[in-house]
Amino acid sequence: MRLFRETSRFKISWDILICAVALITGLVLPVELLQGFAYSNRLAVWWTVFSVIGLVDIILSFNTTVEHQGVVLRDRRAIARRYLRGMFWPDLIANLPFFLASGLAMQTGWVTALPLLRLLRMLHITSRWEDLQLLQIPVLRMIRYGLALMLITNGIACLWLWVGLADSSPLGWIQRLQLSRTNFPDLYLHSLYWTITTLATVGYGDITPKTSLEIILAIVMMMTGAILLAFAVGNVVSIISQLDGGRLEHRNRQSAITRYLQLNGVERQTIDRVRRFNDYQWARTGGINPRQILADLPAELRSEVTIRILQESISNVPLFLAASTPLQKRLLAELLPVTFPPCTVVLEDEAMGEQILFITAGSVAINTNQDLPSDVLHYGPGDYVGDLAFFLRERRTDPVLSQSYVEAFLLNRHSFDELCRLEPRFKELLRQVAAKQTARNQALLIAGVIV
Amino acid sequence: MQLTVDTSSQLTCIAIEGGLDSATAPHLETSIETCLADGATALILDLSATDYVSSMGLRVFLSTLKTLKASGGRFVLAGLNGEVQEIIDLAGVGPLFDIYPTVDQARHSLAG
Repeated sequence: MRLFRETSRFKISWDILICAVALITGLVLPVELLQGFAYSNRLAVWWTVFSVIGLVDIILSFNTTVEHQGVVLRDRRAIARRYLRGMFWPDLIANLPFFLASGLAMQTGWVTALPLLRLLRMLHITSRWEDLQLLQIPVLRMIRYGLALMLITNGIACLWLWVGLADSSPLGWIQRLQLSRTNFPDLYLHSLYWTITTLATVGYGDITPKTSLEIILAIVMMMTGAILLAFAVGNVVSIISQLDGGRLEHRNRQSAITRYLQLNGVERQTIDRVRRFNDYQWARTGGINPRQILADLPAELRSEVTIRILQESISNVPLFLAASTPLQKRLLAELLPVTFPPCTVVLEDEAMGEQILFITAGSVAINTNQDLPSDVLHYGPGDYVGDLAFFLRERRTDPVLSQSYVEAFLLNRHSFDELCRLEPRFKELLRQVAAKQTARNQALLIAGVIV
Repeated sequence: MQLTVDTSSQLTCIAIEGGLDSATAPHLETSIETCLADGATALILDLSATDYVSSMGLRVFLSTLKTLKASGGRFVLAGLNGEVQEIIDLAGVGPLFDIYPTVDQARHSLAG
């Protein structure tokens, strides 16, 4: 049998099935227990199917890789050791006895409550999803709290119903409310209603505890209710704030920057430009600083991730498209991704041509008095600018300005020399790419515009 | 920079020795204009002793090419060293020129 990956589509789908089985068990089994499996014949097939699924899950667990502290365990013995030390026994107890007992026409007894241990499995699976980042954490937590609330409410409702059913004296809540002839589903509904009104601290008072057992249960319930409510409200608030936490953090940062700039006498117009630039950056990166993340990675992983992150940008740069994968990696290590806001000097005039910009998004234009066609002066995605001054080692005659937000890769002289030294094919690649700017550079050179 | 203009055959050949920068390029431009005024229709630039070409130099090359092409003439470059060839290629204007390894090959091609 082959090993399944913990994060594979199949395993995740299977885990969802296991969670569904656990949830159904957690909701239906307490009700079934109350009725002493009176209607068990109807559901007997399902309980057996669930137990079989549970047993298959045990076999799968022995054949699934496990991630632990960043290491993927692929050794079967190590996987088995880990499973035997953890979830194996609850899984086995939850499924095997019930499976064996199912052949005995659902005899009641303590064995019938054991499948509730499947809830531990559900807890374990959802906790693993959190570790493996399979869903957004706040969303996953919301689902977990929702399920927990549902299961606890159902469990308490069953307990309250059990107290009522067990007490045949006239003081018992079922007798008092003259519900003894009511069918089971209606009794369950009453019980659930009492549980929710008590847990929610509403307490209408139409169903009240009178016997000692009822009072004890009500006290426990009210205490549980208060704790549960506080816990649920606290968590929901925390989850909701986390859902929009990034945006909130960004706004707070923007507010702090604006205050700082105002205090230092920066003009409103400039503050607005700073704010817009930060908004633009945040919209692109979601508040994550990619450079910081990449800096922590080893070189090989970094270049692989960079290629993925910049896939779209790279597809706009002919230099990358023509390069082999190793050369692409080398280029990415040397090229610096930069962003410019609109109306900014991207390349200064009078400065030595020490940089070339490979534009991936947005547009720039040479700001010159020379009468040149628009398509010569404007550069867009896929073009590069600064090459004439760079290769001729001359000063730029005119500045280059951004016309919108501009995304580009910057190649400086040092990186260029490094690439030429390490990759003999690099210059040949540049020659091929340069041929695509022939018409533009011819017009610029004749006009005496060097950028 | 030193210019040597050879008009001994039907083909005019100008040899440039040294660097072609913003200070020296105007001399080349004047020299070419004189040749064209004298009726030259095929021009070879011998760059075998040229060690550097600036943007001004490239500008003269491109202007001459444009003028001669318009009048149905020929303008070729010959004997470029690696550095000059690289400048022309990386500046993206390489494909515009007919480039020959030696002056003799250029003469032979233009004569044929």
